[in-house]
Amino acid sequence: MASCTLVGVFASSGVPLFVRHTGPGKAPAYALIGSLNGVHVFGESHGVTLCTTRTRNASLTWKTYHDSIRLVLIRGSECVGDSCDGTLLDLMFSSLVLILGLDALTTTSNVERLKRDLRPCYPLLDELMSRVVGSEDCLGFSHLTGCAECLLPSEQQTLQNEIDKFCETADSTYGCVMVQGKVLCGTKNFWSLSHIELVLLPLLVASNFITLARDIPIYLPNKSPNVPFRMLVVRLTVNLSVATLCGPTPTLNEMIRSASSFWAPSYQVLETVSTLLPWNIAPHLLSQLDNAVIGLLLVNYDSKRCVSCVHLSEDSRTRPLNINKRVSALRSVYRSVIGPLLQPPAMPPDDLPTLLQQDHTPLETYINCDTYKVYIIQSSPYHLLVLFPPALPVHIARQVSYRTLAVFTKGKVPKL
Amino acid sequence: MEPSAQFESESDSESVSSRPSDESSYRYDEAEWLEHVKSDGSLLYVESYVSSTVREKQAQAFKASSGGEKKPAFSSPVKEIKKKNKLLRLLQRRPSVRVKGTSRVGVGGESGPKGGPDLASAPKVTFRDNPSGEVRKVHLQVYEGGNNLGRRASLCETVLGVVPGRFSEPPDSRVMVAGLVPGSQALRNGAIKIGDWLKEVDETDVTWDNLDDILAELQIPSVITLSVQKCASETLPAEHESDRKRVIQTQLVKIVTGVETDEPDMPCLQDIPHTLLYLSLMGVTEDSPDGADIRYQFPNWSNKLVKVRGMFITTAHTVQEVVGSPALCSTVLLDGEHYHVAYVRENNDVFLLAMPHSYVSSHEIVALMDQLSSLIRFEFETLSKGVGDSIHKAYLDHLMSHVLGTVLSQGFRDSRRLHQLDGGSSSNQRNPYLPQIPALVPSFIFSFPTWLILQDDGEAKLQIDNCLSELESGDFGDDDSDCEDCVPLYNILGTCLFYKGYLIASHLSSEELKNIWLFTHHHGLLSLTAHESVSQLVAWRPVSPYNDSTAPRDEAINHYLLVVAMNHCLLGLLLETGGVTEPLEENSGPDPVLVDQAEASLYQLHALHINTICEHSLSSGGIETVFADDKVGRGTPVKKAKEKTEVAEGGLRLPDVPSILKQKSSPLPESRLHVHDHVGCECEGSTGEASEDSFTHSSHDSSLALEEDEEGDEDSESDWRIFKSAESRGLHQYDLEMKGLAHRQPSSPVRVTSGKDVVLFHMVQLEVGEGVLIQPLMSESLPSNTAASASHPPPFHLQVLHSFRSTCTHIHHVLQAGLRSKEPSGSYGCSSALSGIKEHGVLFTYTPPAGDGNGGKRRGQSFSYWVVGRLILAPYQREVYVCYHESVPQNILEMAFRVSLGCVI
Repeated sequence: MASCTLVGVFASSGVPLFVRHTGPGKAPAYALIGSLNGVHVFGESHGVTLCTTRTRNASLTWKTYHDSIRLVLIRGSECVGDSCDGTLLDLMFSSLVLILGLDALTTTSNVERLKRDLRPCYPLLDELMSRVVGSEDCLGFSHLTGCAECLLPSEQQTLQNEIDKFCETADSTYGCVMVQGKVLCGTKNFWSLSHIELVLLPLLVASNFITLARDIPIYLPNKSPNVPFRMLVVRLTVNLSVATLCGPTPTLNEMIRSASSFWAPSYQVLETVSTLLPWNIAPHLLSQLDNAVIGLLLVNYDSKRCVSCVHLSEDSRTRPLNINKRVSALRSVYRSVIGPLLQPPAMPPDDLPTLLQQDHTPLETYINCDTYKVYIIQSSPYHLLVLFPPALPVHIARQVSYRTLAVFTKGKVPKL
Repeated sequence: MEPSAQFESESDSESVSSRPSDESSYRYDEAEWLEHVKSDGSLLYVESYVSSTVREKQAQAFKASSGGEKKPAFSSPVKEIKKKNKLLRLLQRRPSVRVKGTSRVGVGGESGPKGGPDLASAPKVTFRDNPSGEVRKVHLQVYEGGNNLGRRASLCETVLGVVPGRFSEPPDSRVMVAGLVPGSQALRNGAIKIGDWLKEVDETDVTWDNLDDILAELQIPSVITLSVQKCASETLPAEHESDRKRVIQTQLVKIVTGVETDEPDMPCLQDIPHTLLYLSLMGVTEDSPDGADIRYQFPNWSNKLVKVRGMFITTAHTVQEVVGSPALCSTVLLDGEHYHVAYVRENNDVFLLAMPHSYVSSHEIVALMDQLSSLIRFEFETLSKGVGDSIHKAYLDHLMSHVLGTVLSQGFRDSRRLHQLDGGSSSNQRNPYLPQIPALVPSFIFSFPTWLILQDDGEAKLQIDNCLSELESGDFGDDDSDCEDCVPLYNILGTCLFYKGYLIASHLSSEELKNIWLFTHHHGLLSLTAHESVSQLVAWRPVSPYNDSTAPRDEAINHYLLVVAMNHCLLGLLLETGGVTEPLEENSGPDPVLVDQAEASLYQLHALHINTICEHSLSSGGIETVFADDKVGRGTPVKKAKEKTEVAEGGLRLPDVPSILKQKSSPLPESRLHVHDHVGCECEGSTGEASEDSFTHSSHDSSLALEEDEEGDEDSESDWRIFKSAESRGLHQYDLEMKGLAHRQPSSPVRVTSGKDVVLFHMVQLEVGEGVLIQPLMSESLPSNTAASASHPPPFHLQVLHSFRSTCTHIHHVLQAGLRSKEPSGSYGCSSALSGIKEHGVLFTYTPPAGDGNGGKRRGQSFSYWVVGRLILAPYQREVYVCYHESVPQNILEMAFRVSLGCVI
């Protein structure tokens, strides 16, 4: 497992605000953090902004946000492209904004207070960082894809109607049903949130799951960084909750009551949805998948959704790849291929462009390892990564991948 | 370099060598380049042909070699080689074999120099070939009526015994010695040669107009002093007629050797912020003036990046402390543009290179920096002894203008570049530092010597290896006669041979080879030999090739690099002194005997038609000739069996006659393994058992083949048509040798050399396009010379190649990332899921842009091709890259990989 350290520094004074470290080893000493900050400050004073520094198998990324907070990310991982972790750092800063609001972050002059205020952000930051280092219990991909992770239930249409109706009664246009940090369905306005918001909101909901109902003031980093919303989260079943973004009304109590009365008739449906876990995909889609497929990640950049499935059973003759390995395989492949090679459509272009021929578009690619094989298809607006056992020949993997893509996109199926 | 300094001392080596009596014992210490050896012993001497066209030289080479082979010394091969060496050495010493395109009037035969050349191929033009013109003072006894020649004789003939003549080129008022009167003092004296310029008589300048007046006023009898100068050919510009010996150098040579510098394109350069710095805080205090920490800077003007150098030093140090492994590269943002800064640390000093992202990617700059620092360590042992020492400033500046200029000449790395190529514009393909240097487009990731595979079933390979082995072992047979007191001064560690910048043989470990390649490449020697034929090139440097090895170094052992080139061949020798050999005095230049031996080897190779074979392999062999333009998108799946043979044929598609002749006799399974041939180039170390028979026969063979080939163009054409009508797929392949990390088993059948750590990647580029068209061969243009290829219209193929290259770069990074993650270093390292990576492939789809007016070459269909890179760890680490059409089935691909492995699976 790699290590990852995130350092937040008060930009004007250089005072460290927080140091979060995940993985083996310890975070660097304060003196080193000071000089890491110092080089950036020195360069900026001369009009030269230090962005990243690479070593053989680690990279450091600096970024200053709104001249007030500087984040330094030290991450043990190889970086294949020219730009390393800019988007990840953006995500981390946005999670600070999500909790505190941009004003509180940028205008405060009381460093000690800011330090205290930042503490509620730690769970979110830690969740992101443990995804980065590949911890056992963090299986998501949303921090990579920039899209909300979804479930694909067969009752999609029913649930869509229900959440629309529910939000009307709750006097909110942003509402969604989530299962363990994965979005089951959401209102139209919910899907109009930005990529970053769609990644962070489910993470925030999932980061504290034991409570029955919560009323959290949040700032939407892109939509309203200074005016807070109230996010009301009500647990409906064991691992399913409904979240709405509301104004001053209704109160949490009203929301709990209306939620339980509204969703009671749909209880059966919600219960069946829970059985989708851990596959995330409706059984009839699952049955159409080829036996060779042992994991997949499908991203739709237009609708800002992605779905992953790594719990597919593998042929018992070969040594099966455990779930964690599958996730980290897909993550590594995604990181090394998408961005440097395949450009996700509808994402902001990389500020460090690679030099590929304009008319020559890479559309498919594969990576073959000792223990697995991943085939990647770009078919606008989709990216599909399919995980195979290593022995499968590439041309078969290609055909199976196309068939897999067709399963999710062709015909009358729950659309991603 | 100051090549034209101190000429006066060398007076008459030419006349000495041309005297018949001296022919057998040539005095080695009078080699032309000896004057140019610098005080520290290093040397870079290049001499060009006076007027050089390739054809002329080839013809000359052919003549020279066939002349050599006509000698009746074939009975014993060994003997023959020896004789040839000796003969060739004589030829070499004699400028007369260098055929010059001169048109000057000849001189009377009977009065010509007695020591004239005895080769029929080069008659009586000798005297004018001396590239230099030393001034000699001749004391001549004159007396009344000395040369009684009758009334018609001119005063000059009568008095001096010299037949006057005029030079054909301006200033034509000069007096040339057109002939010598038989029996005259001038002839007996021997110092005056026909063709000399009669400059002065008794300190008075002589012209055609005042000659008679001066002579009439002479006091006769008396001893007069004539001053004559040897004249080089008429191509010398007027400034060269100063009384100094001249080396003939073309403009390109002058720039490569640094005699003349180009006018750098200053405004263009200053627009591109880039810098190379060596920073040391040693001895720098608060009071030191600004810039005291800069030990080396190139280019010399400052920019913002130089101003913030403190940031880079601190970053390099801090990051290493934080992460535990040295910082490689930083990316900074300046005025809206990204710049990459690569670091190399040595102790507390930092060597850094900054360039804009629009020119190099971060990975490229790291690779480039690695090359630069290895080269400097190779030449100077440590960075601080090289870039840290101000005495090397001029030398390094010249080197860096080569290296950085090459990078900048690539222009922006965006896709606009290819469109410019479409239009044939190569204006931005110039090295802004040295605009005269033709720019090659290198890839810094695969920056390793490119193998040129000889297309004649390895016989040429065998000959080259034999020749090099002989040189290495000092097996010259006639050494004793040449130097009686011969104690071996050097122990030759290994040699390598380049032709037109392509590696054709190496007897070095990969590390040594890489260093020599870095030297010859970055000093522009390879591109020089690629673009021009040189008459003689001698480079000599003390080097330190084994910096990295942890083994304690023996201080008494010194290493030297000798590079000798002739025509397009460049031979690199790595030498060791001090151990088993006589210790060498400090800062001594190259040993003339050794240089001579090396040059003799080159001559021998020349005589063996290696040049011709290489030229064939270059022009008809792998690299440039396959274009995917035609019939794009007509990809129809072909039956597997058929395709199999087609792939094989494609590999053998070489229309050159020698290989086809031989293929006919060779069994098919062998010839099918064409890619194996490419690997075969790595097997060259195992030729110790080479039979001498094949050695001699082959020279017959190849000369035969050559003759056939010169008239056999139609034949090769028709060969092509056969392939075309069969709708075959062509293969496009070239190889790159790369150094890897794994250890190679000594028992491996594809062992290269005697080195202990030989590790080679192997890169094969196979490109299979439907209905590939072979352009008529462009003998003048190099495959890598995009400017030249752009004049022919292969735009689509260039695009494919371009995306192949950039994709290979990407794949290479992914593969390397996987490899690196296996060996975690530093506190943040980890083993990632990529660690077992074996293969990475990318499918490209080309969709023609709408309204494309490119001559109907593109149809409205899309065209798909794969670029696949495979990492092979056993038996040694290497990477294979393949580019092929989408419709090629997997089993063919597998075969290509297997075959490229040299059947080691």
